[in-house]
Amino acid sequence: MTTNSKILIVDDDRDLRNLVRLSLENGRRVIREASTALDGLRCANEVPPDILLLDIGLPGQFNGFSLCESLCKDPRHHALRVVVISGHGEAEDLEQAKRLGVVAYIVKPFSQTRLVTLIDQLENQIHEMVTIVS
Amino acid sequence: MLNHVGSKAQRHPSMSEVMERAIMASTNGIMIVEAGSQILTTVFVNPAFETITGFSSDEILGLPPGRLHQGDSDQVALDELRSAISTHRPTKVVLRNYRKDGTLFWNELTTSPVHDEAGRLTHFVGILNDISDRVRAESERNTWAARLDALTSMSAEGLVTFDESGLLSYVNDAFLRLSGLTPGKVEGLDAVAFDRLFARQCDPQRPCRGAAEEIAELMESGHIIDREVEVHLLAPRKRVLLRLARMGRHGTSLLLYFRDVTKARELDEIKSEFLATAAHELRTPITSILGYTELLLVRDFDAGQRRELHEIILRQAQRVTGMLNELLDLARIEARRGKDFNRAVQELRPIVDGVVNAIAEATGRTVNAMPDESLLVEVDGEKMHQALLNVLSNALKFSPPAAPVTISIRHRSDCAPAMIGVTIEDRGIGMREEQLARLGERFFRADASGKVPGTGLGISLTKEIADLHGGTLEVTSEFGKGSCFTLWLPRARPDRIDPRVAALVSEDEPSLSPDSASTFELESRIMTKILLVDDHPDIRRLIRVALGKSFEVAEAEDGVSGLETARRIKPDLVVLDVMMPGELNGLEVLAAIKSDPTLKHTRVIMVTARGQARDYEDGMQRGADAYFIKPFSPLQLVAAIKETLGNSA
Repeated sequence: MTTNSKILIVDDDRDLRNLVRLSLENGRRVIREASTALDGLRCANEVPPDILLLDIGLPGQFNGFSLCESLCKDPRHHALRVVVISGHGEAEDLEQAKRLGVVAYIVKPFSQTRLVTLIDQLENQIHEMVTIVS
Repeated sequence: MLNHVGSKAQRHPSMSEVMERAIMASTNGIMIVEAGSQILTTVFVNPAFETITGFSSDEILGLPPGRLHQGDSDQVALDELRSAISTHRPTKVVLRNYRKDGTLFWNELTTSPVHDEAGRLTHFVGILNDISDRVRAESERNTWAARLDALTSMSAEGLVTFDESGLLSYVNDAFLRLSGLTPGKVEGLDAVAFDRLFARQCDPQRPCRGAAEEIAELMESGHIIDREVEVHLLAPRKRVLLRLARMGRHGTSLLLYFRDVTKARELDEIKSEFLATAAHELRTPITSILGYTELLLVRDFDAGQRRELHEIILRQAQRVTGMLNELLDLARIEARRGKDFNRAVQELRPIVDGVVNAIAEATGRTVNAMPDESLLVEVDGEKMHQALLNVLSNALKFSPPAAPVTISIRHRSDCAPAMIGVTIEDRGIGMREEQLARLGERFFRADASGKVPGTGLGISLTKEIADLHGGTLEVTSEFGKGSCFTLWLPRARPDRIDPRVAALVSEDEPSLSPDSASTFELESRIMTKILLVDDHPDIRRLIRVALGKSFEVAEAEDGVSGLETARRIKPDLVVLDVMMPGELNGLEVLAAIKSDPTLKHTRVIMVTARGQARDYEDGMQRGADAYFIKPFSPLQLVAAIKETLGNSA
């Protein structure tokens, strides 16, 4: 079972994007990066990703939550799995993330091994869904 | 019968005799003054007069009245008395009079003229009443009332009282100001009506227990309730008040106190927000450090990749260190409000030169320095260095390598004291208006892309330092064109220079750049012995690895074993941690080494945690050869070790 899942990383810290990419690269995944929420929206609309790894603390008017909200409302992205990466582990943020339908919430700093395991699991879910549909 | 006979035998006193006795027995002082054609002469005073005034009749009789004023003639009551006497009418006045011993008494004096049968004025009769006690009591009451009034009206705490019939009887100015209510609206209300009116000013989302309920409980229990009720006001503006109900002294009247804690609450919020932001900002670089380290451990990378990842780890760890240092600096500066600043009148120029040199050393970039002129400021040299360094490195970070950054001096003499401005101007990316407005906010970064390294604390720190020196940081910026920062400082008067400080400032600090290590190679036939004394095995290991194989390295984990080892192996150099557990700390070990003649060739490098300026001074005084502040770069330490050994050769 080979999945060519498409993953989009949106984070304003270049080193962190690079870290996530390095951890996840396995030759099959297609990984794209964006440094702002707006850039992330553009990327997502160009190539709809299967999994979005989103730093929720992105600055600006159109921030991480805004990106999450507009993608989750968009029927084109109904199958999208959003994984939030955040510096805060605060209850309100968690609540808001839950409301928006985020599937996992990772608080910095996090283990790369666990991140990889999580993404593997999500890909398996997507894969199962695809097989049921087909 | 006998009585009757007896009474008959006694002479019945005449009316005038009775009157004389009455006069002599009266507790009021009585004086009689004869009115001559030109002058008044005192002809009689009664014993009460003598008791009240302390003068005997001999000292008074035959003299004009007025002795009791004793020169205190500037009294309105005296004018009235004189006028009454000259127009021959009766009067009653209250005079400040003085007893024989000079003490003041308040004399309520009633005078009336006496005429003969022909209607000619012959005498005045004066009746003295010492009302000092009454006046004193009255004035005390007035003073207390005035004090109480001043207290309650000036009090920052709102105050409301209810009288014994349960109606609102008094509100002070503070309450009216805090609540936005007017006296006319609240006076005479009972507690329930008061609550209803007060609730209109409150936040309906955050209701509180009514005062009426509290008062009822208070009346019932009769105890003091030490519970402060939090009241959230929306009008006249958002405020948080604490309300306390208290029974009056006689258990009938009631008091409500309102304490405004809005500022304190806001500060608390700012603090916790700041902590949350700080924690968040620290998590990001820590994520990289942990993440890349984990990757390096579980994956195989080639040498080039490994190096790249290590560089990231190093950079992010440096970022964490920088943030921690700046956070600590900021916290310390805020907590001490400049009390630990070492301010001295000095020339500004060496400080600016120091900053320019530091930048040139660290980045290789040169800055067009300012013109040479004498400018005296009263500053903490070290803090000012830091403040200017932050602004200058900011200017360089946000402008392309070829774009010039200039430093110039501005003057402003339209204010007292006159100000000197150090202007740092760049042709960098500049800022938009909304970015400019947020500048100085903690962790605010003009660059959101993460391409420009920084903590977002530097400008906050500079601002804080400028403020505490009585100066300001002025910023203008144009997006895409560049920014201009001016650090304004009050100009110091030349007569305030402390010669001792001037001598200290001019001393050059030893500079330890990594370059000196590569240019300097130690040549020695015998292996140089180095002793590392530190309670952290990781730190000892780090230094040992950095020293490589060209030294013989010994280790000790506390002061006592460190000193023992030093005496045994006679090392050429000791790297000594100041803070160590056990009987001897680093400074004590240093003193022992320096006083031991068998160790007189041993060099010592001290290592301490940041910010222990006292340690630095103590260490240098006790003969340390160099000083390092944690965290330090192991390469720099090795360079310093080599340099120290080189100097001793």
